[in-house]
Amino acid sequence: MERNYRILQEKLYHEELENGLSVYVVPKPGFKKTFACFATKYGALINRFVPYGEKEYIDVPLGIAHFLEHKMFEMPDGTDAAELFAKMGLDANASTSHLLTAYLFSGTANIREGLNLLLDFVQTPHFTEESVLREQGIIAQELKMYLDDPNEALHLGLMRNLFRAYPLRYDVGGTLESIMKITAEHLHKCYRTFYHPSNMALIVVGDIEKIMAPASNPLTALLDLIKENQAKKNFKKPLDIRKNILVEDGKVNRASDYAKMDISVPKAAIGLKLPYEKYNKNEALLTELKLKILLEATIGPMTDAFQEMLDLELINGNLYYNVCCDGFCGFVKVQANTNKPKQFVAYIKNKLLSLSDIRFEEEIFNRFKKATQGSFIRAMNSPEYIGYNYLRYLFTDADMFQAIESFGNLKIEDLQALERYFRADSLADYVVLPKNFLFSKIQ
Amino acid sequence: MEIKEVTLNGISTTLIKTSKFKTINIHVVFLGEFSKETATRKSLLTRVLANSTKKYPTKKALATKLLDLYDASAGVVTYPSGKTSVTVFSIEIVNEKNLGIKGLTKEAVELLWEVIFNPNLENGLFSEKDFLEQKRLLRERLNNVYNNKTRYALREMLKKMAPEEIISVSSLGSLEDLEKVTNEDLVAQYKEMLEKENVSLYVCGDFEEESMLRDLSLLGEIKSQPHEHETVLTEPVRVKKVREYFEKQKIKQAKLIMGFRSDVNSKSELYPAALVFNAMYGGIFASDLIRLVREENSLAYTITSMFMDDVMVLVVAAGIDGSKYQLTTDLVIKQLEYYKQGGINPELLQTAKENLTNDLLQIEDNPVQLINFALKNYLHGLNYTVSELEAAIKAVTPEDVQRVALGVNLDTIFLLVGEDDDGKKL
Repeated sequence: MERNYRILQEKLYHEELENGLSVYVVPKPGFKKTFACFATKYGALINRFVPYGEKEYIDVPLGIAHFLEHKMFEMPDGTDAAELFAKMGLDANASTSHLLTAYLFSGTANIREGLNLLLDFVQTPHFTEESVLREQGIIAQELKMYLDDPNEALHLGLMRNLFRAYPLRYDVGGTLESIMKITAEHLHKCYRTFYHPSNMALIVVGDIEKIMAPASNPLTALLDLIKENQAKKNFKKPLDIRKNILVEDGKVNRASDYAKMDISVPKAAIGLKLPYEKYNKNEALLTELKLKILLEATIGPMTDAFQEMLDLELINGNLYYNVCCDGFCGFVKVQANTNKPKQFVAYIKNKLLSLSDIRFEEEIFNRFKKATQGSFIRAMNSPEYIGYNYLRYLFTDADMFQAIESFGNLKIEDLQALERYFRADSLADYVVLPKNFLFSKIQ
Repeated sequence: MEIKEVTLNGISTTLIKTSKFKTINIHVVFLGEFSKETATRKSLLTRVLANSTKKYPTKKALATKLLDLYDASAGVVTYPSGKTSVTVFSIEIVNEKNLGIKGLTKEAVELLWEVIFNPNLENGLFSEKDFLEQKRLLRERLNNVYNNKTRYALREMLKKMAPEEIISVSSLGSLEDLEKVTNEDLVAQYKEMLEKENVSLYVCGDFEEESMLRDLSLLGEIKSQPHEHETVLTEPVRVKKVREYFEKQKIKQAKLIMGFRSDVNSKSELYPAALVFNAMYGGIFASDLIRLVREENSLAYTITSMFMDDVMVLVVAAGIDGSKYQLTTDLVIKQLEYYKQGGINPELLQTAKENLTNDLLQIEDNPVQLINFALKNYLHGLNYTVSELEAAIKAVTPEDVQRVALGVNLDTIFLLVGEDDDGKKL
């Protein structure tokens, strides 16, 4: 199926293969680089499920999706997929988030070989107790690296305050304790359940004429290559995956908390919790965009509030905000470096609560709509951006291109529909302080 | 793609025409002196200039203007190359062709002109409010370096390794110098930039040359002087004795930074070989250090080497368990010795070349990287095209890599380590 997006001037082809794998192709004529991403709709959100072919729910240790991602690179013949990619001159990588696990590569030549390798290494699980043991050492160092990062501490602290049980409260990588409990058998169960082609998608972004040269119909040739690869493998019939994600309402777990680290400048974050809701197609993505506009218009650099925060020395420079709506729950996060964490937190909470009654001038509203359109057209320069985000949003049931284009029809009333989120009991904060800071004395 | 160099009002102008981007990028680059004396003033100056202009006298006014230009992104940064400061004023806009409108490029150039030539001066000084505000923000930014442990460790290593050399100076500036900077100093620094520095222009996107040059001419008459500071250091530094430094902080993972001297810079005949050496040693995922330290000994999640080609320094950085300091540094040192003795794995050599080629070709897919490639040629007095550098890399032999390795010598090791780690094990 071919879709044309007039405003973004992009094209997308989609086909679902016989084994259930969804394949997407975005042609980028003239680009030297091709980006391919093969992802499963499985990430750190899922820690309780019925394994493929079994009947009972099992609980698996935190961090297992990420652990599995690490182990996938090991091939049954003892070679390492990342090295095989490197030998072809391709850059391979992988990432795990709460929503998805993505395996990706980019390069300028050997793309057909790279696509075969991408499909092959992800579709040949190979785990031994010995290699699991070695990986525990590597991942433990990765987790320790994050433990010294005050931004990570701030984020996780805030998530723990927002959520009682929803897995966003845990690091994607798990904990130093939980990863030690992971066994090869756990990995096999997760793999069998979540790496079935019907739970996965593949996207290729690049100059397909160049990739498939001299084929007269490069798109068909590309799809044939993928189909041939899949035809060589046997997959069991797809089953509905039974998983249990502990979603929750909008009330925060704990309103406020802090930690101390060996740092010099305090950091503070304020979170707004988005309760579990059922989202229609494209709606999770549009909710993220709408919330971003609300934040920009309320505390962004073009507001008087931003200047006021600088004048009152509530922030030490940039204000960072982050919006996540994963199709189940979500959050808004606002953070800054600040020497007056208490005042900063109070100021931002107050601003966020003011959004329970949204008043927008038409002119400002249109300016933001125009800017959002512009920023997405700029992002279309990047095959990586398109490829990764198309799949990420696909797994929240959105067609990224279509959703962005529909944004032009947004009305002020659509923003006002979000007023219900901005409640005092949905707000929490978290502060990371230098180790010798006296909390009673902070402002 | 077509790359063309023209002279506009006496300014060297590089036009990179390609239809594959949906954006227009314009960079105006000033080259001046980078030194301990000027670093902090320049760092503060870029912040003040990026904050407001006469026509857009507040952050709000400037941010609103950028939103109105379909979320244009504008910036001012300064970074060093050898003893040269490179100050870049840039703007990226959506190409007006993709929006079906006219005049957006012209507005973008006018805004760049505002930021560079029409700052928010009152009675010959920067607005006192802006000055004090940006001074405070830079102070906090400098304080914050301590929060990023790897960056902190790298800075400390360079300070220990070369206290009297330019590499120990941070382009962010220093707290000590910042307190002394006055508004008058900053205005003097600004005037020096306009009067005494070298200026070049870079544009990338899908445009008609004639109309682009017409729009760019709105920047007016710019004074540009010949550039006279070193952009690449050329004197190799001999290592007398390897020095080790430790610092304790309350952290979970130790940060290991090893500084090496190299006798190769970007102008050397061995430059392509040095790129290949770095990739093989620790620059790519398939590199020897990743294999040895991460895959075979599980000592680190990540270990990487970086070649600083303008200052002839190579840095190896890793996050490790503090008690594994000796084991890790031994592996890093032994591997270098192995290269020096000619232990060049031909397969890894090939992999490194393919990775570098791949990275080079990808430059052509990113407007900012394309501009930076052209700028680096201008800055370092080189004349590579992407494909020439690619060919030079492909021609590198195992002997070339060995020759690079022979000129690499460990100088200083810095370990930032947790307070709980047993000092004796170090």
